[in-house]
Amino acid sequence: MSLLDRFQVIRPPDLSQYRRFVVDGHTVGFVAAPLADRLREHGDIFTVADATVSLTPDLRGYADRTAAVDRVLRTLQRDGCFPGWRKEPYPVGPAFGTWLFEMERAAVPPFGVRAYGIHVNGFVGRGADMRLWVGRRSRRKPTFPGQLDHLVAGGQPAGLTLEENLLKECAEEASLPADLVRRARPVGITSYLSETEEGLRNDVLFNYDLELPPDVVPVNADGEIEEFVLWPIDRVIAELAGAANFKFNVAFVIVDFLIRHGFVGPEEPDYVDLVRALRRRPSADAVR
Amino acid sequence: MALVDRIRYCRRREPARFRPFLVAGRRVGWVGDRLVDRLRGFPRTFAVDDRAVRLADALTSFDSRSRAVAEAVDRLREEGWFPGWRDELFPVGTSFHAPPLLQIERAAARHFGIRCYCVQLNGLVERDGELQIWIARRALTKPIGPGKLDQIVGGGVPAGMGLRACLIKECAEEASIPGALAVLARPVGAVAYLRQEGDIADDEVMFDYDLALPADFTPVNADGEVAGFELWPASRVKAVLGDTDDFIFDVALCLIDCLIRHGLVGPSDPHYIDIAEGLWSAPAEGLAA
Repeated sequence: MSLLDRFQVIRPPDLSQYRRFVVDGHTVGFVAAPLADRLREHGDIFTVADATVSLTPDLRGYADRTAAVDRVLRTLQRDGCFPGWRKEPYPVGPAFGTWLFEMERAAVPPFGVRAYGIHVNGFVGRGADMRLWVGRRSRRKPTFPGQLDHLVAGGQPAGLTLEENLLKECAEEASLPADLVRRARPVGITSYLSETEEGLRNDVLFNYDLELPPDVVPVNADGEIEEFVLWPIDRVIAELAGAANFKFNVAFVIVDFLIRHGFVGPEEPDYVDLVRALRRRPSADAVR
Repeated sequence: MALVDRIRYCRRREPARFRPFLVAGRRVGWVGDRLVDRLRGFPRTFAVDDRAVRLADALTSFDSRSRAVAEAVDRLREEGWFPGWRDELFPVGTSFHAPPLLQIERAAARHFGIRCYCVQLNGLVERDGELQIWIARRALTKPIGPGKLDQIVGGGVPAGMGLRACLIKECAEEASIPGALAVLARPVGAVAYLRQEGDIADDEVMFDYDLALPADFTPVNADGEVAGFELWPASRVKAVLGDTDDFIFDVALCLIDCLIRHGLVGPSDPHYIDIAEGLWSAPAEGLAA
């Protein structure tokens, strides 16, 4: 495959087939018809109209909304909705940092709610000598088992700042000390909107670069990563353009890394399409 | 004002006043209403309807298309269209690497909303752990954005010239950066936008490069297009981008991208996501959407 083929997994939705999920006057997600039909059964909490599913305006505060939605989600879960319940609340709102309530992570794609994550490109050396740390996910992980991953990556749960989450994930996944992690530099985002089996993945990944000293070897502490390997950039490119089993969004973030560091340049015929594929186009997001 | 306002400026659209310009069934540009009406006077070259302007299907080759368009463009020039005539032919196609479908005088290309490809250079100096960026002030004689702030080097890529060769040429002309230094410039991405206003649709893809310049290097303009250079701390670039429209609007995108890549605009900016997504707001090549 080519680098651009890595992006073919993105299936942009026809949003006219979805109802906007409206909370306190803000669109915070997109709900497909089958879930909307189930939510009609909970008319005290959700109002299902032709183009919208709204949280009842009687619910005013963060805590009240969270509790009411959670009751409905647990009822639906007993009927088989939301497989892979994680007991991990994700924040929901019209913009990052403007949160209206929180909901179980497994329900985030079915509601088309924007989810946020952090991805850390851990690299050693500069220029032609640069190497990138790549992790292999545990085969026991429920999601994307055995796939290639970043040095550190994780979803952004409710109640943590990005920096707190970065420190936590770097400690759990790679045993990196805080004073080293604080050198991580935010370098941009990757985003996409894609129909998947679990629902609508409406993701924003906050990308960081972290230059590691050559003598720092990451050690996984939470059982989620089976092994870490340090690949020269040429190998990273070859594996990405080959058949290597990268987790889909990790491939996006690494392509962004390769472009920012000049390892993939504009002489590459797909360059314009690659850069464009890295982030959702604003024209597609009249609503978020 | 905020950084995100620079993004919003570049995203201005007037869909009711522009029609897609199609060649061989593929969109290659946008034509404003005033020019659309005038192109009805060239029925053998342009087919105009409510939805689009099409180059006549009978024109099937690069040469025949270029010749027919040049005849129309020359006539319109006599009527006062296309100020700032350059006598420079500009390729028209559906992607940067695809063979062009025709070529057109550069001054007319903007009025047909033809996508333009540029190389843009961030001239960077690391001093006491802080990033500094060379800033240019555009000459008052420039037809577009006279007196505005700019990057140290930038320019459109002419037909038939490679990106790297174009960058090296611009580095020499605009800032007297020697070739041995210019070749060290590193590609770091691209930004793009489509902005429609009045008679003009600007559709630009800007290939961005970073170049670490030695502390003792001072740029000197050689082609009269730059009034002067200053080395600014990145924090000042950020403040001026956020508080003013002193930078020429398209270069603002390149500099915001530079600040993001270097971690100087980060998630603490409330518009971080909108800004990052807004750095590429142009439609896909060849498509009308």
